[in-house]
Amino acid sequence: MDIIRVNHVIPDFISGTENPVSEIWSKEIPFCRGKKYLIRAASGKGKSSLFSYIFGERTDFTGDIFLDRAKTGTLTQSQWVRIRRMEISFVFQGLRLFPDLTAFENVSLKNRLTNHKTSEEIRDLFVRIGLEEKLNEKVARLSYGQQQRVAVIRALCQPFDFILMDEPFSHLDDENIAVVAGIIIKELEQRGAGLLLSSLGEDYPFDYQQRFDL
Amino acid sequence: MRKNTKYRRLFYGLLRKNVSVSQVLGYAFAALAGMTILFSAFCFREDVKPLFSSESGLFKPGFMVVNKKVSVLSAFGKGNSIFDSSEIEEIRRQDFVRSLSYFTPCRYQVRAMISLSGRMSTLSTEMFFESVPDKLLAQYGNKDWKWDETSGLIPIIIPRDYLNLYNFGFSGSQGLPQISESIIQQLVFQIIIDGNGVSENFKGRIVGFSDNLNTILVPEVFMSWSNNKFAASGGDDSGRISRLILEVKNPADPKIAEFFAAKPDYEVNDNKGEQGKLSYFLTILIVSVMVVGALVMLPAIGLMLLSINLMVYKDRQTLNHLMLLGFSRDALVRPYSILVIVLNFVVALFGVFFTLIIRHFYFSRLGVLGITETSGSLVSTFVFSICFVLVLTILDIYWIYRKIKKVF
Repeated sequence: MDIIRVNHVIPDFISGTENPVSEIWSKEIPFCRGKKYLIRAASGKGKSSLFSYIFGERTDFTGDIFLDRAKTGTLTQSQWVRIRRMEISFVFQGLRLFPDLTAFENVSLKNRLTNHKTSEEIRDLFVRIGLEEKLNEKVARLSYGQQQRVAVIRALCQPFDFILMDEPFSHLDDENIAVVAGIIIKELEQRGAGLLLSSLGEDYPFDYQQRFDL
Repeated sequence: MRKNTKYRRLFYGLLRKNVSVSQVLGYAFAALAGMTILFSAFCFREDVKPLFSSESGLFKPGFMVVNKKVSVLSAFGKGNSIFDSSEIEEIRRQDFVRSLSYFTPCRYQVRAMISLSGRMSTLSTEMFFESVPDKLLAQYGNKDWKWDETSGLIPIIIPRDYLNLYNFGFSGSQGLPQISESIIQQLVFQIIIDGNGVSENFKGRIVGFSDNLNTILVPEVFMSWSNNKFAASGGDDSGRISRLILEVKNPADPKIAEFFAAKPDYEVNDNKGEQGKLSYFLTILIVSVMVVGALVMLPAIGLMLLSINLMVYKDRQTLNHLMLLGFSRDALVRPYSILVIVLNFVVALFGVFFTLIIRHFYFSRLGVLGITETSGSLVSTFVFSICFVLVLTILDIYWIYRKIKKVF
């Protein structure tokens, strides 16, 4: 997948609002593979909604979103399965980890779909983000910051052309952010993939091609 | 390989967290009761079937002979026992009748003579012939049951009672030898036919005996040839039909009994009149038991479908997360499907096991009726149970699929 186009999209919850001030809603925005984008907004402006629309989870909007040439509304179930396995990865704001599984199990459940990484590579990622001790700990027992890092590792355990990250560092300190960002940048370079990252206003250490205020 | 198993356990464990043991057990016991009743009733039906279909009579299975009762008035030529054409049509129109034919009487005089060896005495008797369509006879196709103008030897079937009458009554009192069935079949009679101003000698031989029908049968082809030659010209059989042969679609059809119950002046000889009634009651009984089994099964199936609803409902968040991670719908349906497949087949296995116990129990009582255990009924019971559990499982899986589709 080379391009995600967000064309004249207005979420249902702000439609009717007169002239919403936004650099994305109602505009034609192309997100290209290999580039990094920051989407800034205060809470409740629709950052998560935008990502959910792109990821096919929600359809409560007007306008069109194209993944390459395909309109999201026309994709079949099996096409979505392929896109979510091979083309777009997503670090959800709510993380969506399984609390009863260990950190490692959460990651390998995802990894087994494509066998993208070996167990050793996954362990190595845990070591690099400083969670090797928590590998076999149930996610329910981890702090939210630790869970955020597990969710990032999980999102890296698949092939992708774009990665969507919805406020991924909200509970991390700067030191951890630097480490995790370093890992992400390396993975992006390896795959030539694009990044769409949302924040409440923070910039985080990525060299963005474009910044949007939603 | 081990990794795969571990992974599968991980994935299935996630979705089976909300399986309610009490619901599963509730379903299992209700379904077990229902299946045991259903399978046992089916098995019993298969086991007693031979009682109602085996036949050693003159006709092939599925035939019955109908005649009218002979009344006092018949002797005076009134209320005679002849079927008129409207009566025949009425019977022919019944749903249970596949075909209808009748006895053809000879329209000439017949005498039979035999010289008993060693004695000078000659037995001679006036008699008659009848014929029925050859294809109805169990003897049909037998090499003895053939006649043509060149053969000269007429094959005859007589009631076994005639021979008994001779052996146990006549021969003793007259000082004549007793004759076995095999000997009498070797004897050649002289048959003299008079009619239409002609008299001719033939030879006849007894080729078989009937237990249930008092008539003397000759092949159809001989009857039509001889009637043609010896009967007064211009006559035909209509107006002289006193016995009908019905081929019925299903001898155990209750409609047969109903129809003839409403015709008190008709007599039916189907070799098994009593069995027919028994078969009727037993069919009703077995159907009732199967209905009870189905009634027990219904709430069990309902419970299963509700449990599926509940499981999918409780798991909907997990299902949603897995979907967003890239799991396909089929993959998400699988853990639940495997659960119902295993559950249904284990329950069915126990159902069959209990059916075998019940079968063993009723066979110990049925021995007196001369029913022997055959594997045929077991095979059809197995096939029935497998089909039943397959249909049930497909229904469950379809339901799971539908519910999960809603979550997606």
